[in-house]
Amino acid sequence: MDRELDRGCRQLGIIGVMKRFGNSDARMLQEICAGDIRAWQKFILQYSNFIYGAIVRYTDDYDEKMAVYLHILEKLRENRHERLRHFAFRSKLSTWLTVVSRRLALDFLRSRYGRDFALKKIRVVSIDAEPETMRMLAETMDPEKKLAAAERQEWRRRLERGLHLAMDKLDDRERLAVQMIYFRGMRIREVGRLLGLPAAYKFVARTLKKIRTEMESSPRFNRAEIADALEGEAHE
Amino acid sequence: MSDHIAGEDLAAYVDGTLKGEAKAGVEAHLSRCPECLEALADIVGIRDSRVKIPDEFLRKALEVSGEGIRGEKEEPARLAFPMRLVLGAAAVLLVVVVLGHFFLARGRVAAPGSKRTELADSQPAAPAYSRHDDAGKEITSAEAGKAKPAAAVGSASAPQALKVPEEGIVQVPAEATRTAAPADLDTQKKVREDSFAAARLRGTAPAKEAAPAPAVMKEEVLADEAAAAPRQEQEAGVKEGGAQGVVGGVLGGVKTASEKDKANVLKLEEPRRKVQAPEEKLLARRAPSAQDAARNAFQIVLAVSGRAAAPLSLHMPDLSSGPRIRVAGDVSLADLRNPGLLDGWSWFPGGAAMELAVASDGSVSAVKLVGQWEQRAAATARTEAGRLLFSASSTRSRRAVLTVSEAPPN
Repeated sequence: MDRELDRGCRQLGIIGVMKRFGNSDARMLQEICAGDIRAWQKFILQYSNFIYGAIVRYTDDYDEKMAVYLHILEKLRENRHERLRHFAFRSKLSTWLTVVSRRLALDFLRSRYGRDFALKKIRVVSIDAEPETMRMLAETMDPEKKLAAAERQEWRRRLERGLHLAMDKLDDRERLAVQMIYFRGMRIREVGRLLGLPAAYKFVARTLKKIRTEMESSPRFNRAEIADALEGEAHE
Repeated sequence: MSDHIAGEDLAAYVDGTLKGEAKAGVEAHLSRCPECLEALADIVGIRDSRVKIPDEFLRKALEVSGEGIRGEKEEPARLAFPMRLVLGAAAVLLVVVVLGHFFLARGRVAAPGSKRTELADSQPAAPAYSRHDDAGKEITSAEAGKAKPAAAVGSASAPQALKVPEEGIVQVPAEATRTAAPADLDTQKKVREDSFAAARLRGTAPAKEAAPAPAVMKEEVLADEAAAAPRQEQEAGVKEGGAQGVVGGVLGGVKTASEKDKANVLKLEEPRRKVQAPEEKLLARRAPSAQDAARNAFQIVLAVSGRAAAPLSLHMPDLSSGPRIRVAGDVSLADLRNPGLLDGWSWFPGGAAMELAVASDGSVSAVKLVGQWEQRAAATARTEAGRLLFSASSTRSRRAVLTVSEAPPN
């Protein structure tokens, strides 16, 4: 624990560590690793929301959430808090705990349901609550609509393939920004913060222009198709 | 997993603490790794979700973690094997020492509040003597003990039939031990410095007047009357003075007599008056054993310090010369305020006995000689006996029986 703390301090500078995280987390982890029950319980009370947030993203069953939650705590506690001991204070404890909790929750659920547990888990939903599902079912029942849907699906696949080819021409940051915003639904502001972009909106607009230019250069897509492909919602 | 971004790097990237090449490397990986990008998106989403954990989860976690931690807490606190061995040995040694001290102390002097001393318990180490009666019948402590339940310290010991030596002296369990009260240390010293001419046992009366006089010697002769005149056990002295420092403890000899003796003595009584004075009534109430004499006595002076005691010296009086006097009845030798007065009692021609009426202030109010006395010796005896002074008592009057052995045993 001390070694890891020292390493973290060397990397960030002791003043940086203290400024960035305060010394309360370091002291708490030290006490936890020393076997202090109160420190461990304080840790639970203080950081369980982050653990729980990672769990509810992958399951909504109460008992399962409880099982995953206790499993994560057990994993954090095993080998005399080995995971906590190796925390190097290069990030906030809450962020690191979110990363670890997410990974442990996925491991737990995958061990129970298999790798694609999200697909295998059966969700019973009311049809009335999902009108879109009803519409899709109706389309598949109608041969004409079924053909039209298949054609549209094929067209979209071509567009995506062309989009990926165009994105391959972008640099890492531009590509990452587009993926985060248009494929993962992250907010532009958050992406700008992560990427360290002072003008995230301009950066995203410029990147989209690059993609458009690249796709227009391809004879497979006309301007309307390109506009349709790049049409989408971006969270402000 | 090594193909993906390490958790801490990902967390640092989310927090914006990753700089330079590390950050660029993470971004390059994220732009081409859908899994890591998904993880990044999830983490950002979780961090911003602001969900609140139900209280039941926390309660359960605290409950479980407390148990688990308790189990782990012992591990770092566990000592190395050699240290545990040393501590274990030390604990065993401590127990042995404590137990040893307890039994050692108990073996010397009883703890305050106990009813008898260990000296009285360990009777073989404290021999005393008794003699045969005139008929040659062996007098055992069993005979005496059956009628004297709480007369003396040694009464708690199991009565045993004792072997009769040729001289007619049998060994009996020690009947009395005593330690002096601190208030009487001076008296004790004085008594100890005496020449032990008489066959007496040293002791002092308890300071409290209300308390019955402590018994130094156990009187089997008067065993049948012990219930009527109960005497306080001698541990009062131990209680009061046992922890005060060095005091003298005396282990005394014992004389026994049979019922037959008493019958003989009754015949020898001389009725003087038809109407008896209260003192004389008191004297006539009991039949003294005229033939019972204090032949032998020996002393063990004990040093008592706290709970421990050790014999300082063993004093054996010269049995070949000097009178052997014992005091019995409602008082004992210990009740004598100045036992040195008995040192000069060497004018007895033979075994004799006398009864004394002791007033509440301790003075002798009446003297009754038992048996046949020479006139001159009788006058001397009355005079000398009248000078004796016993301890004061709330009892209005008491009876004292002085018996003198007729001849040395050897």
